Amino acid sequence: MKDQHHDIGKVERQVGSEADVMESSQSEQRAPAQTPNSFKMIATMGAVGLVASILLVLTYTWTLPTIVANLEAYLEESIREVLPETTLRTDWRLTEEGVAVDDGTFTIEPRLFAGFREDGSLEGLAIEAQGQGYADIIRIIYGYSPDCGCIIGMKVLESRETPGLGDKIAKDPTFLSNFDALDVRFSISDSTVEGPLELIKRGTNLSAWQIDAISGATISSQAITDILNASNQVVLPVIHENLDLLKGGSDE
Amino acid sequence: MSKTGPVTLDQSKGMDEFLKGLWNENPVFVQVLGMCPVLAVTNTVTNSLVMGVATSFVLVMSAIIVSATRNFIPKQVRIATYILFIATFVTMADYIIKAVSLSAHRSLGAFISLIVVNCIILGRAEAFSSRNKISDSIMDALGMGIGFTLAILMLGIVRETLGSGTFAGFPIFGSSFEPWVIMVLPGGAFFVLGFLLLAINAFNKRNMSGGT
Repeated sequence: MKDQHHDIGKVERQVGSEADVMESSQSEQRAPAQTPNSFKMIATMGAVGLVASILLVLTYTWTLPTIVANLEAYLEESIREVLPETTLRTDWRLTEEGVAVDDGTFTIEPRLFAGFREDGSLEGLAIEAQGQGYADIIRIIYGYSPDCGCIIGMKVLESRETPGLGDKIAKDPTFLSNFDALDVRFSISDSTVEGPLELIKRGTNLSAWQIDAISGATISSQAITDILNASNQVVLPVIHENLDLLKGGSDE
Repeated sequence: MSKTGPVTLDQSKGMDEFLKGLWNENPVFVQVLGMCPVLAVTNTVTNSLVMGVATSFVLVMSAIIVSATRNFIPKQVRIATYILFIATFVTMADYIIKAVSLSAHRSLGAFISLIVVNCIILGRAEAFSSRNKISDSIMDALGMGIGFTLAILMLGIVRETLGSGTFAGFPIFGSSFEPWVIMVLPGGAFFVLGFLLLAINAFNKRNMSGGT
């Protein structure tokens, strides 16, 4: 087809050169061989765009319910991992005034989930947090128990850490066991975090607020520690101030 | 590298169009096209499979529509319309993968959207589908898609087995196995691809000199 097209152009040029040799050699370089019908081009592009957008809208509406259900199931599963005894949860948002029930009107406010045991007692809060890792932003969710003042579980929701090294923060059982009962050093009387969580090298004695680093992934381990510290500073005072609200928070 | 030369325009034997993508004109091992996903997402078998299937889906759908509209689209805007079609099908594939498996979508990340710029797809649309009837175009796209999927699966199997000691997530070695971390890193992809290309070219060369 390309060759054919080329031939047609040649024929036309030959015809032109018979008429005026000097003129044609100039116009030959400037004007395209064939002037395309711009209306046809625009109409084609418009039609293609219309078909494309219809296809996209159809696929979007067709897959949206499943995608939303998947996301909800993933969140549910993550909360169950950091708050293992929870059977019922209420959704909250951290606002400037404190906490508010998540009624779907919030957008950027950090999310907070209160998890209740079967007997109705508060097991803990699941807190979403994020911060810079070695490769990209790491997003985590962690469970905090106000009764013992400790972190009772941590799960990495999203990370792009180096496979085989940094991504162990999400999988390494020894590292994750750091977060089974991690003292956050929160003083209820002062309503502040008294000291940060500390990252230490493997093999040294652990205090209740120390996190054992993964060897070969110190930066990623430090990132998790920093994310938790930054989040604790902000969130824990709010949680303890609003503990009664959160405890009775089943808005049913 | 390809000994078959340019695609013959009048060929209508669908089976030949299908088979050439598997070996003689394999998009990865012979044409060496679409190297970005080949190197980037072949760290596990599952990732390779999902990427292969998604790419094949986009290849076949765009082949159908490019071939069906080949007589209506003005030549001047053909590349733009191909890209628009391809982008549409990639976005559809993106939604579908998200609906089928959220974890697969997470582990492939941006590489699903990057199928748009995979040169295999635009290459087949321009070199084949825009000049051939629909049935031949489908066979060509299927062959190329399956050839691509098999090629990246080979890389994925080698890399996951050696790099994590698992196959599609299931451990296959004992706990004493020490994973070759390099294999799941981008560098490992270059090693595996290099060795596979070496083996395939050696095999083809031997067949060429010995056979005829």
